[in-house]
Amino acid sequence: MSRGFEMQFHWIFVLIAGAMILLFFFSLAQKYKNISEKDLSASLSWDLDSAFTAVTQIPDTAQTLPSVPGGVSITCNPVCSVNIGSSQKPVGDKAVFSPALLTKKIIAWTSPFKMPFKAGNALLLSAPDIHYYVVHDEFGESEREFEVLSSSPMWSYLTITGLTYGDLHNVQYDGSPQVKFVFLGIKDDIPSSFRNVEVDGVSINNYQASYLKKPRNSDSWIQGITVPLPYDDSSIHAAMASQDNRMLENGLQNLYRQLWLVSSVYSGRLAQLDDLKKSGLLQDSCDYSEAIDLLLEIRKDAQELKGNVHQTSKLADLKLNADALVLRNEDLVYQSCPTVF
Amino acid sequence: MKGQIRMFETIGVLVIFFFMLGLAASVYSNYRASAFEKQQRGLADLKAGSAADSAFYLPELDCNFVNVQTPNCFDVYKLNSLADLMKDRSFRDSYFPLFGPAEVKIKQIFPESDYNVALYNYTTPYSRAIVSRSPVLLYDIANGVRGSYAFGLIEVTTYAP
Repeated sequence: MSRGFEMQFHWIFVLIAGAMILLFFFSLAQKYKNISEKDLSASLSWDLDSAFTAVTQIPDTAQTLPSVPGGVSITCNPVCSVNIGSSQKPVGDKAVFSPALLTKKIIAWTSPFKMPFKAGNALLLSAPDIHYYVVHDEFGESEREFEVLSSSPMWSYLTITGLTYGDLHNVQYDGSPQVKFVFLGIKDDIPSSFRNVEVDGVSINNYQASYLKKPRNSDSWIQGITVPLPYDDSSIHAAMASQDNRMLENGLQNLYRQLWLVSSVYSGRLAQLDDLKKSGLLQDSCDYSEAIDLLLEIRKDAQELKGNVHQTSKLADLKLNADALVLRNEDLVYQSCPTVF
Repeated sequence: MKGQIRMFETIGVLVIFFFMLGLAASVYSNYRASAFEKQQRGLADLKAGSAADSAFYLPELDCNFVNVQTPNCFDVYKLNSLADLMKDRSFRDSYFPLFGPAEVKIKQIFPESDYNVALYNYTTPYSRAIVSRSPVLLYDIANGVRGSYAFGLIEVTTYAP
């Protein structure tokens, strides 16, 4: 009786000890897997950030970045961050415009933001598995915007089909995993072959971008918030590349912030040149007072816009001041004076 | 009695087993710690390189004429203006996302001159300072009819925690 009880106890002990050992190894393996995944996503996130920094510094170029296992998602809530696995890194001061999810290789290109001098670069991201349909009116006002997009280096890297409004309804869905319609002008109905597909869209009309979404099994667009764009070519690229209004707003805020910094530096520089003129080291005809005033106005506009990108009156002011500064700069060129930009 | 001896044997084996497991875990954790340190150093180097590149390509400082840029060149009046603006703490903080804890200095080396600009300084307690130097052109637009160029050096010191 006692021996039988001893044997039973022995086996229970062996089972408990075995289960504990197994549990220990499983937890160790799980921990190791989690740490390795965290390490990998953190290191990929840093690599990608460095690649973005490098791309941002060279304007008007397109580069292919290798695909990241599990994909890269960029979310804005309200500040944008790049997410790889469990690692999340804020985009910081970079003006990033991108689709929400990049699963294949990433095409990165930059477009200089000039207002009227270069204040920074917009970093634009996309992927070849996204099919863009750029719809334009070949004799209308949108022709210039179409030229801006079609002459950009990304045109040959991405999957883009240029269409006129007349051709739009003949388009057949080709099975692309992601589809985006870019209307250069007012939005139009979606072709019937796209009925069973979820489609994104943006209508860029008169420097205003309105984001559109067509759910699966629907024929009509759901329109999102409209964002006013700065009067610069980079904003057309930015509106096309952005997933939604929040991403566009965030990127534009960073571009206005850059403009605020650069115009501050430029006005300080002109004040020094004005002092040189007053002390006779520059010719008398080099008058910087008007240019300084314009730069201070641009600085003020940029400061307000970086807080709220929806101020259309400030955007109009910014355009007027930028145009006036271009004329003032041309005067300085004719007078052989050091120019503003 | 025999059963008790057997149980003690089993416990003994388990103690030795767990002791060896602990030893292996401590060796492995040491290895992980050194690998982590190495990775942190790599990241710090990457950040330092990124900060140095960012300083080199600042649109605030470029030499341009009607939007045509001269590569690897800083306009000295823009440098002076930015250095002056950086004295304001809130303005300097605008550059923190770009440089982080770092020091950026530019000095003229040829023709010899005292020209030396401390552009950005944000020092924090650090364990390692990574210094990166690059040659750069310094353009004085108001010197002579076409302006004049000098050779300079940009020094970016990044502080790793």
